[in-house]
Amino acid sequence: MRKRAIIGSVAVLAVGLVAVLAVGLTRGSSLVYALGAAPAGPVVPVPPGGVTCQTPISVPDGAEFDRVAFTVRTAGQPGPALAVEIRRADGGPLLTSGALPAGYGDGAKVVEVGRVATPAPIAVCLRNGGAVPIAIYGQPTIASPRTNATVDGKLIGFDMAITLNREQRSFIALLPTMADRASVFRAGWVGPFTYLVLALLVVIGVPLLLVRGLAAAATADDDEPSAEQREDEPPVAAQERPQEARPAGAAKER
Amino acid sequence: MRDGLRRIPPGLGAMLAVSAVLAVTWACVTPAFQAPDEQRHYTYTQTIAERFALPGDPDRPGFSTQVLDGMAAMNADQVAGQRAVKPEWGPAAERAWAATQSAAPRDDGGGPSPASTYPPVSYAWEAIGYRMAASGTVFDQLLGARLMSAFWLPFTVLGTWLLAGELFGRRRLLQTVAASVPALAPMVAFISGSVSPDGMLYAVWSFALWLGVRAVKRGVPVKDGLAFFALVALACMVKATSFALLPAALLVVAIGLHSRRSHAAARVIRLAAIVVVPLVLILAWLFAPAQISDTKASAAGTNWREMLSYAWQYYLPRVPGQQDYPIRPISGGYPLLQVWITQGWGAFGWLEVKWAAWVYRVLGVITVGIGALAMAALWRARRAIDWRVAGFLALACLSLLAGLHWTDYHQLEAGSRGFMQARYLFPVIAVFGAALAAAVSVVPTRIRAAVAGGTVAGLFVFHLFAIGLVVARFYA
Repeated sequence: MRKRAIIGSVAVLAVGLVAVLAVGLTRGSSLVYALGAAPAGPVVPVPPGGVTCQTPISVPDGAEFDRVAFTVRTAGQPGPALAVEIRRADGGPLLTSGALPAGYGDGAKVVEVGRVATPAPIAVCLRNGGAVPIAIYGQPTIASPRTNATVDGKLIGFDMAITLNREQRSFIALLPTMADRASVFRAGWVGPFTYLVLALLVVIGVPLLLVRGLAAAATADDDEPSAEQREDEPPVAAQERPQEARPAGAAKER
Repeated sequence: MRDGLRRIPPGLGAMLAVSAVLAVTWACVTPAFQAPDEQRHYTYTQTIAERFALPGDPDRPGFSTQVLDGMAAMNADQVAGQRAVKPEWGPAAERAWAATQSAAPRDDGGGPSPASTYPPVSYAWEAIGYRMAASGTVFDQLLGARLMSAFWLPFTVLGTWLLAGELFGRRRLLQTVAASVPALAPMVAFISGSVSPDGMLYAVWSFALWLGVRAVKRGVPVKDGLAFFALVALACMVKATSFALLPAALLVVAIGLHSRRSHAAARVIRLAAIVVVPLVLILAWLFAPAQISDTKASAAGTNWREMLSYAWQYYLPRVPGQQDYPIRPISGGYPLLQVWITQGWGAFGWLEVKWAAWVYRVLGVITVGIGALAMAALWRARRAIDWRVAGFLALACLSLLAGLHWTDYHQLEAGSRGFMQARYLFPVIAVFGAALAAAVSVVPTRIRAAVAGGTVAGLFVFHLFAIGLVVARFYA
């Protein structure tokens, strides 16, 4: 029994851990920073010739991004040319920009804007170069408490659901980054090192404990004559006499 | 101490250690206030810890300034339930919050909330963790309270192990398989690692079920009976859900009285009084007007026919002529799959963190398979089953289920979004563990150990995927 318990558990653990690794290597994320607003509805207008901005955005640790994602509604018409500009939030110079050519339809868009890596707060602005009004999906302004959307410089009470992205990295590659992110707004003693220790315990310690425990349980059943005899007995407790019929201390052993 | 540890069967020891590691992991991985109603449970804990008072004062705001500031800083309300929104992970935002957080009052909350009508025992326990982290921030105190809740998971595992020992005898492999269910089921660890009364509830129920079975099998000896009723009373002081244990408790009383039918009547009455009086006092306190939630419904206003129709449609397809009962949160889905299977196997955060739908269909098939094998085990053992034990466990499970459906139906009727969540079934997680062990027991002897090993390992791999799912949802 012991050997079989080990074989059964190790085989499944091996296949399972390979599967976890495979998923971790083949799937991933391109997200660098999200502002807090979800694409709930087309609530932020970008009028013809107008500029709609979300500002000020402090990218954590000035992390690098090179594309901006958002969801647009064109009300069934071909979308106008849309410039995506990254500016300093304090009104400084244009840092970089990208463009969404005219003719697109409703839906999620990703616009490459070139590499941006600055610790200074930035503004992400969408400039409508056509004659068709469009709207960007977002939520009421409470969604992103540290940033605001403006249309031609005026606050509008809504936030754009914008994300700052880069090329996709696998979840395995992202582990250190995710540990850093998970350490924010945590108890003082929880940091990346805590997550490293927990990860080692879960990925290495737990499987070892399980295999050892199962093997020992199987061995105990092997060594237990009554258990051996019970192998073909029904699995659910048989009717028992009151305690005087039981060997003394039998209950304690359970 | 070392001798004591050596006496722990290795299979049990492994499950205890594994459950402790996983519960702590969940407590550290889940973002603050991203477990169901955690901000309300935390506020209850905080009210006890800071003011030594119960929440529910209508003249106070629901949350303290400290909690509101912490939640706003990490955008917790916005993250809850919206997969597209991540918690704030900018260190600059954390520094800005940290600069002012110590000035935020912690004792100005404690107003009414859905949790403020709950009994206080588990919150008082979690307040110990809160107090131990009192010099820190809201996130230190939250983790302190979470770890006090996580503390109970190994006890749930122990209770399940002991219950399996009573049901299967001294068969370590089956006991280990049974214990692996609370130890490795990701939703149980996720909830146990959050601020909530449920972690303690699962442990107390698991022990109550074990002691109930033990007492019933032995004709309800006084010590076993007292210990069982003490646990039932404790369970009722942890969460009102535990009233569902009362029918099973009455069965234990009946069995105890029946086994003493030849004893002197006075002695029987004295013994019954020892059990019943404390129970009645606790129930009277719990049922005091201040403790009754306005969501509770009376039987007087119940449309029984409609409620039965609701219960039917919860599990079975509508029959011709039966009026459609829309169960709104399910929005046309099959409740058995959408609630019990999906949320039971894994719906994290505020239930929004899920796998693709096909995963739950596969898990549904696995669940049905396990259930069928467990029933086969029961059938095989039908002539040897102690029907008092079976009745006790069935009564506990069915009373819980009936209570949940009663509440769900009345909340739906009152126009709310519904009440039902699969985790409300976890108080009987020990029975689920026993069912898995029973399923393994019908496997042919020569491959049983391999199947048991593979089953436990499979549960762990699933748990690993669950942690990955949650980490990816919040931090990738």
